[in-house]
Amino acid sequence: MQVPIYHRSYRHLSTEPADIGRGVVFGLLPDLVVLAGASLILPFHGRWVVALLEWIPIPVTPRVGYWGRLPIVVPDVPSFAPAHSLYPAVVAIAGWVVGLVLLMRLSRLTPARVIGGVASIVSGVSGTFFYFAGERFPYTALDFANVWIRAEFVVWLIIPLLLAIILGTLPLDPAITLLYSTMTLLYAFWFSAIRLTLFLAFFHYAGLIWLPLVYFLGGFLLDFLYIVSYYSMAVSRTTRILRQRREMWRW
Amino acid sequence: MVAAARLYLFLAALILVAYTVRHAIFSTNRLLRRSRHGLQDLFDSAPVRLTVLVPMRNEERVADHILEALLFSDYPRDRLEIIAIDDHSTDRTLEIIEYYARRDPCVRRMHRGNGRPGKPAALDDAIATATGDIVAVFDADYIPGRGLLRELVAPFMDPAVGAVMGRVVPLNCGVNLLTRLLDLERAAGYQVDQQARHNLRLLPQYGGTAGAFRKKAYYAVGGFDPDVLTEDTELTFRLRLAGWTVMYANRCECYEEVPQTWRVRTDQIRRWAIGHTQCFRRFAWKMITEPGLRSIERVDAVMLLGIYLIAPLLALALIASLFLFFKGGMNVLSVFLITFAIMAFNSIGNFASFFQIGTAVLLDGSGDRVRLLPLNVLNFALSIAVVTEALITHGGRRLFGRRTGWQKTERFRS
Repeated sequence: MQVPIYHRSYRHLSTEPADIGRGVVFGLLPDLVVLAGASLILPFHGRWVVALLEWIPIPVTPRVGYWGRLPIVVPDVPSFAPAHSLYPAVVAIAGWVVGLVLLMRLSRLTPARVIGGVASIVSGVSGTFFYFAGERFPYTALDFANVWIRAEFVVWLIIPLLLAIILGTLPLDPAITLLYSTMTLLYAFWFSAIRLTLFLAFFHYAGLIWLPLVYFLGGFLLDFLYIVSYYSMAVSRTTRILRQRREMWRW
Repeated sequence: MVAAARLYLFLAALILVAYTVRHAIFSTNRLLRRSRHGLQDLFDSAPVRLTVLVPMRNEERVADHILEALLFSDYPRDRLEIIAIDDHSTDRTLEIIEYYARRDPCVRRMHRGNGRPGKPAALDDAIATATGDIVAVFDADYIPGRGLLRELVAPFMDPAVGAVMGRVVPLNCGVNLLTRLLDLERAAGYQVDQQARHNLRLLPQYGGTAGAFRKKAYYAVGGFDPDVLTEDTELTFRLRLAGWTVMYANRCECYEEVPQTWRVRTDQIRRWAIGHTQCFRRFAWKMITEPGLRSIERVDAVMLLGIYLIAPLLALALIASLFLFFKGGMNVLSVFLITFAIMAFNSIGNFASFFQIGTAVLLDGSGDRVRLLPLNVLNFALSIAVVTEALITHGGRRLFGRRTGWQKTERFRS
């Protein structure tokens, strides 16, 4: 009789459909909390940012409004408006020069050069726009905060959905799926408030010329990174759990 | 202009979502479904005659490692031929090959000092003199295990099989961050992507090394085209269009040396991007129109061929987003749409990233290395820039009737 070969290509993860169903349902529970508590969560988030800005201290006016039927509190911060066009000119020239220098030597590209190059070019574009048509810049800090809070709310809804799907298929206890989903959501809530506070403070001291950079590199890109981080922690944890269980093989 | 930019972002988002779905299906398949395997467990007491080709150009650092490993193989010696090809080397490669050719009658030396340099041309010359029915190819930095040749050849007992691809496992994964990230990427590419395509009876890719093909099939489809930078992808599609089966054998693991510097990595990505896109032009339409293929196979093949076109698509999406942003389009539904799609694409779908990596790590049972997963965004950013640049440069060269040359990957082993 031939002896079976124990090779990792034959390893099998024993996840039953019922376990997947349970994992997905548990992972989605935080979404229900976000949806049910939206009318409390959204104003709380805005008020928290207002409190943080006051603590810095930065002059801030809380604007109370509605998003559909949901009440929201949006912090309004006066932003720095340079008296001279030298400021956008410097940002434009520095942005383009640094960006082109970083991206020009294509044979020596590294991730840092690519990310730095794109950030510099975005700043260069922004500086150029502000130099030639600064008065036509279509946003204020209030617009930014408005969009930020709404977009982050959508991210909070996506996080449990995403994690429920990708963690639900793992051989994890549903309680652990719920734990990771909740942890990621709480982190998202906290990190959103911190970032919005820092960005509004930045606009207050350095002007709206930096708004495009913050919008393109400080928003979803960072959201994506921490979601992946929590996912990687969950996978790492799962491999440890699996090591303590009996191996499953399928030849 | 605004309407065009919005339309472009919408279409780009649709394409990204399609890739997301494709790779989510692959990962889920690997997590939940039973795997198909080749015929590796069949022991053939009289296996077919096998020729192993090792093309080398300035490979003095690694040449003796691969030749030693091949000579240590348990494949019957009377049915094994190893052709070590010296392709325009200027270092001690030829000297090392000659030493092994003197030492063992299995090893044949082939010196190419004239003619067109490059792997496809070297392989084509060598195959013309090969005596084996099956031809296996290994790059010089690969180290096959003792039983690998037997396992790689076993699936050819099925007469419909034209090519078999083994799994590539990095040997130097602990050197630095880049090698660790590439280790994760390779795990996802083989353990999940290739195996899932094999499970779903789609088209696994013959990777040009750590794989083998039937010589009869090779000649039936016209051999390698030396103008294509990824002769392996080209052969895969030509075999499939001619009705041959391409198999993936997950158990056939072979060690390789992954790039240790970003410069070497960018050269590698450039070559793959250009070669893959050359194949896209040649085969995408044929795969759609060829009779006898299943619809899902057609869709997957076109998506596989178009994977490198995603990079310029994303680069253009960033420009379109910037344009819309300054036109006042900052709202949840327009500019954010593309970002949402990119997020979803990366989280669930990307070719060798994130979800697939997590799945591969689970299947391999190797734990803590997955914590580096978020840093794979560095690899992703670099790939977008390099692929975009490579395709633009290649397009420009084609406009002026110039060819993009084949480049050898630098080795690091000492």
